[in-house]
Amino acid sequence: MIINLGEKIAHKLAASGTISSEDIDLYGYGFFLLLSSALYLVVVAIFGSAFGILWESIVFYFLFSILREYAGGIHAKTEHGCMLSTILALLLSIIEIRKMMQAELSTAAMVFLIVGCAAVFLFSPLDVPEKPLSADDWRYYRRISRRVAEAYTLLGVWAAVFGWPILYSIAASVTLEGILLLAGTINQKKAHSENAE
Amino acid sequence: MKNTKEMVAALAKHAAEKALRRDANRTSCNLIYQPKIPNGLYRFKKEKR
Repeated sequence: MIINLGEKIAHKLAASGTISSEDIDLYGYGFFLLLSSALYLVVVAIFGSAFGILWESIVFYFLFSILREYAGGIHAKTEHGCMLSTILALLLSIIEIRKMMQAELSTAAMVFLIVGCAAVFLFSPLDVPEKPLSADDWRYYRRISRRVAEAYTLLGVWAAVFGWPILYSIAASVTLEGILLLAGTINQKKAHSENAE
Repeated sequence: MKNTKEMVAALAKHAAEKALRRDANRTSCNLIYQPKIPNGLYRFKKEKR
């Protein structure tokens, strides 16, 4: 789907001489990344508008994206599976933000934030076989993921003190990443034990 | 017309390179699907850390 569209654009660029034909896969992957991010931003904006929390939803998406890119986590095996699970995860997170905002559940948001950060500290970075990390990279991304989680916690505490609704977006982004990391770790352990048998 | 097409192609290439540079220096993409990375991606990786 999106990956095919990305490849089509790359083929057109190669035909016009803008990129070399050897780089079609590379640029196709680049367009896949761009188009997917844009698509999910539109999905988040639609869900956010529907629930009356457009800006909180967009802030959530950006905060989640930053943490996700450094910390990693579980990935779907197919593009269709990805689309469904990403849309479902985004929808549930936006509903979570809305519910917490309506009921002013700042304590619950702080608990989610701390639990999510603990998952980041324990399990990140979690790579996938499609994009394995070297030992140096692993150490580097672990440091960055932890710094990002610390920054989110500080921002969350600050938001809680001043009563800013951004607290709920931060809590939802860290919670979702924590769940993806936990699921990825369980998945990886299962795969290791199956390989060992 | 030709100039506009060339400009759009150059902009698209630039945008794709930005996405590739970003992805080469991250653990994974922000989506729940991570395709196999193309060989040339490491060209965009920063050397010093």
